[in-house]
Amino acid sequence: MNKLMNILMLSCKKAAELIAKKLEAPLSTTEQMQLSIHTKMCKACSNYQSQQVVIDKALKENCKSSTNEAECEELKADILKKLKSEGEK
Amino acid sequence: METATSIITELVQKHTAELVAYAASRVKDRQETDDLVQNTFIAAFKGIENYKGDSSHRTWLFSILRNKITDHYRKFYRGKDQEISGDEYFDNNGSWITDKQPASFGDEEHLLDNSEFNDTLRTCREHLPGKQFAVIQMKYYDQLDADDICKELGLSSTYYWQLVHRAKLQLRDCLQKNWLNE
Repeated sequence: MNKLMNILMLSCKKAAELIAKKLEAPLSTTEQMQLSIHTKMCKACSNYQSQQVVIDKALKENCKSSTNEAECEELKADILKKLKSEGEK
Repeated sequence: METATSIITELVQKHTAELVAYAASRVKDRQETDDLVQNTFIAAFKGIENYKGDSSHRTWLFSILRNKITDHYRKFYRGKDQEISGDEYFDNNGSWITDKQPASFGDEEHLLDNSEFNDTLRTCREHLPGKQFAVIQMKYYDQLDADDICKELGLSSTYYWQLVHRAKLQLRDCLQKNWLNE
C-alpha cells in the first residue's frame, strides 16, 4: 500500500515538471495518472497547469521584440562611421 | 576598396533593421545586439572577397550574424551550465512555497486577446535571465525545434528542458505578481 501511495503521490515540484513535459511530449500512462490525481487534489497545481497552457499559447502568438526606428538609424550611422575607419586602416 | 565600401554601405542601409530585430530576438541586452550587428558588417566588409555570390547578400549577412550570436553565447555562458533547481518556488518537500502558489488567472479563454496581459507577458519575458530568454525566443518566436536550439547554443538536451521549464516557472510567477495583483 505504501509503495502504491508513493507512486500515486507526486510532490508539487514533480507535478510542475510533468506539466512542462506534457506540453512538449506525450506522458507515459503512469505519469498521466500521477498528474491527473495530483491536479484533482491540488488547486495550486491545477491552476499552474491551466496557466502554462495559456502562457504557451500567448508566447506562440506574441513573441516579437520591439525595435525602435530612430535607434536603428543611429546604429546605421555608427556602423558606417566604423566601416569608414576600418577602410582607412 | 571603393566598391567594397559602396556595397557594404548599401547593405547597411538595407539590412540593419532586420538584423537588429533578429539579434534582439536572441540576445536581450540592447548594447550587445548593436555590437553584434556592427561586428557582422565589419566582418562582411573584411571578408567581401570571400563572398562567393552563391547565396544572396542577405543570407550571407544572416549567416555571419548567426555565427556571432553563437560565439556570444559560448563565450558568455562558458561554465555556467549549473543545475537549475527551481528551489525558490518549492520547499524541501517539493510543495509550493506559500506566496509562490499559483492562483487562478480567472477567465483564461479571453486572456490571449487582452493586450495588457500580453504586454505584461512581454515585460516578464524581457526579465528572464539571458539564456532562458534566448531559449524561449528561439522556441516560440523562431519556432525552432529542440535539437536545433541545443546545437546553436551548445546545450545538452536535459539542460535545454530545464531552461524551458525554469523560464516558464518564472514567467508564471512574474505574471501573477504584475498582472493578477494589479
